[in-house]
Amino acid sequence: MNAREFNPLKYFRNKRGVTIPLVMSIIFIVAMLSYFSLSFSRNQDAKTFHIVNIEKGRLLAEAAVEASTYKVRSEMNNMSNLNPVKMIKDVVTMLGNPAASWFIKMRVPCVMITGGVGASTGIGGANVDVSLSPDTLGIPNTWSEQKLDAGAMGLTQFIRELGGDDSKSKVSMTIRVKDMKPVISNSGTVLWPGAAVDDSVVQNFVHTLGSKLLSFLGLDNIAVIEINLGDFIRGLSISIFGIPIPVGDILAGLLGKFLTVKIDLSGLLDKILSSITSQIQLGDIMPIKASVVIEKLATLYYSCRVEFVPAGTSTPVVTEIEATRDIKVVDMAAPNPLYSFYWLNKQNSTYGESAWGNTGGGKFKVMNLNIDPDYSGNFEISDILNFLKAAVSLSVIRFPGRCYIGGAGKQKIPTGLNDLLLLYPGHTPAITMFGNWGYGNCFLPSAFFVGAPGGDAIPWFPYVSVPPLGVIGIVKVVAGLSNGCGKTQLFGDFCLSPALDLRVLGNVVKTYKRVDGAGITFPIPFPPCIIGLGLYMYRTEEKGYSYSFKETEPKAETDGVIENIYMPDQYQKKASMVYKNGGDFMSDSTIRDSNGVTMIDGVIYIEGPATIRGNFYGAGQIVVNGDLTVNGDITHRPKDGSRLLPFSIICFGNLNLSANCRVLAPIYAKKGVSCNGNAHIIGNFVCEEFNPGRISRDLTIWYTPEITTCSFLSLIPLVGRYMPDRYRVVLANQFSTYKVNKIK
Amino acid sequence: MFNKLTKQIFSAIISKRAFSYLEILIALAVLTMALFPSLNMFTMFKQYTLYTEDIQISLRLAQEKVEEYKAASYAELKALINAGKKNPEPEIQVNRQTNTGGLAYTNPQYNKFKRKITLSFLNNDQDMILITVYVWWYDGVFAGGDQRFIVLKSLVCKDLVL
Repeated sequence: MNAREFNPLKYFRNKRGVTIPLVMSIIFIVAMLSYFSLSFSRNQDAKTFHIVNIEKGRLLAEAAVEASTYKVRSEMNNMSNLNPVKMIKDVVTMLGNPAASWFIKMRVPCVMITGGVGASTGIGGANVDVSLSPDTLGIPNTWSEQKLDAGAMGLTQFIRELGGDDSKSKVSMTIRVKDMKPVISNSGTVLWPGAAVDDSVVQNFVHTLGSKLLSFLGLDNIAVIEINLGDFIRGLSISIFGIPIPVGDILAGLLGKFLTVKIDLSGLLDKILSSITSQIQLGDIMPIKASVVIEKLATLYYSCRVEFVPAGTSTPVVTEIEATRDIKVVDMAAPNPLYSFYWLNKQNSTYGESAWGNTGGGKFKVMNLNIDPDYSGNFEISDILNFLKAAVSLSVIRFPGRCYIGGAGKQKIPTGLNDLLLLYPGHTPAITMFGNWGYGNCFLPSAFFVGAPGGDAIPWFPYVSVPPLGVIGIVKVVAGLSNGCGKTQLFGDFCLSPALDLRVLGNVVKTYKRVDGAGITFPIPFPPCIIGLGLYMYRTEEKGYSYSFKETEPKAETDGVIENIYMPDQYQKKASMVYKNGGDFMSDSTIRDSNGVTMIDGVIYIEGPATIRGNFYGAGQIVVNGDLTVNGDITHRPKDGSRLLPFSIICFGNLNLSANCRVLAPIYAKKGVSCNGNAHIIGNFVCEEFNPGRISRDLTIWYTPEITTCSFLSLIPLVGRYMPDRYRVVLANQFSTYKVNKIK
Repeated sequence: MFNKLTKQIFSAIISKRAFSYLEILIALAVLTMALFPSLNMFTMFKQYTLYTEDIQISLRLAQEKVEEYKAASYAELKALINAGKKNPEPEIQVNRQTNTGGLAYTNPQYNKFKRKITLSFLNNDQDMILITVYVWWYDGVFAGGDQRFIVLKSLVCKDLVL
């Protein structure tokens, strides 16, 4: 067939079956279009679901970060049943386990590393890098991280809630502590100024914790304390219609031997310590040749990979998130927590009897033993009985605080009413004269005649057995209320703490009135009783140094130190919140709930003077770099379940108690206190300067161990600074960085 | 019988002049019929685009509430649950609300969306609060059950101070 003859129409016309390919082609086109439509439809559905599933994957990753944060938070300050000494002993072994508690991980002992060239210290003239490293302790380098899956974070149910297949979905979270830095002041101080750390600190720690622990407490010479409550309360009386009723004698008679309480304090401490120290072997502790630091600033790093598989599918949606949060491991120990009242007195200020006895008009009382269980700033006889009942059951947790007044000069502090009990029973009078004591209740002769000699004549009711008619000698009955003095009472109202053999350390001289005299007793028919009449004369005596129940003569104390107080700029660096003044702090509603309770977590630093009142919840310190005025109650819940919550007030100026108030916190006030309202400090009070003339209204310090610190061991000077439970970990509320790395 | 008739028809067609034009016309007609459903694709594309847009809007609306409730403290959320307010925002039309920034949803595209928020404890663990946000809308006839919805969930754990 040549080209000229070829006719396509004729060709097709002459061929059969051309319609079949035509129809097939059409069907093919239709099929392709249908397939395309179907495929498009399915793709669109898949794409739409994918958009939602990507979101769900991201939510799962965010939930993983939230859950892991919760895990860290729930562990980081929870010592649980961990023995602190065991922790220090076994910290290397414990940190070798990646699943170790975050309480342990956050309190890894670090060694100060210095070297290199840089300016990161912020220390003038110190052109070196300063960082922390636990590596030289031989701790495995995996100590700082923890890997968690969905089950460990409790997210399995959440995956199901999101519509995922929990058996196919995977969550892999890695949390790590990194970038650790010490809290260094601008002057170069790492620890507080009073703390000295040397090469042998750990060895000293172990050694001290053992045999010398009691000496650190100052309790090494205490054997058994025996308190005869019967004798103690025998003098107590109440007055009804002017008639003294000897309730003490009645109680003593009724309760008899039950009122004799024997506290083997040394035995108690021995039992506690032997159970702890028996775990320690020197060989367990690695020698450390550097400064050991626990307090630090660091970063918590999160790395999370999520493969979210929607139920009914097998294709994972992958999401990766990285985030960081700031961590601060902060020392929360109260200043000098073993002491009820601590006055450093580097200025060697000295005040005479009149200044101490009259103060500024208000009473200055130190209740070295707070047995008031309600922190109300008051206690009654029932509290005394309950305390002693607890003491014999070994469940007592409160113990007396020590008192320290530093400086080289003698502080002449009149003994006041305290010495009626303070000297008891060493100076047991022949006849107890409670109910008729002092100038205020005496009428002859000095009360009537100005300039009369220091002698009085009084009627009294002898409560002890005396001859119905006779002459009784009155000797060594002490009442130091001369001329209205006695406004300073370093042993509180009822002198419970002297009974426990504690004393005021420092250069304190006590002057007191001794009474010598004679009296006669005679019966009267109605009401049937025996009455006495006596004549006596005051004599002034001076005892010093110290202010003690047993009149020991300790050496003058001039080498005091205030522990646990850092430099102001260190507090600023480790603060969770920083305010430029007190007004900003008090008006910040973001840290207060609807009831006005302030949530405190870590250090709240206020620059300059501040006026504060209110209720606080949480653990932390309020640091005021200036004068602090308290114009109302400052309360804090000291316990959360069985855990003690540290809360203290640090003031680098003067503390002004301007209103009637109750402060439930240990307080450090560098420049002392002025009291213009009746105030109760429930905790302890530590200062560098003090002037009794500024106590214009009543100021009572109630030493309360559970408020001054975290644990028994952390109270111990030198040793206590390595106790893990005195440090609190504060996790920042906000992420420093947060980024989604991958979604597919 | 059928084959005979078919042969006659084809024979008649083939035997006629200009049959190819007719054939092409028929082919085009069939092709047009085949392409006709594909014309619907454009509508379908548009529908899917709108649907995707709705999904995106609903996701953002849900995320907005998730973030809003996550920003509240654990204590506040727990207090709501314990006070019996497990549905703090029950079935509220979006355009009747303002967001946390105080802005109203004035755009008409928000008119069809509704939201609901529920709070519960995950696995009855009082330390983990589950925030569930439902966003739904009707795409077409209500009676036809053309309801679309998305559900997002988020977790807030106890904010331990200690």
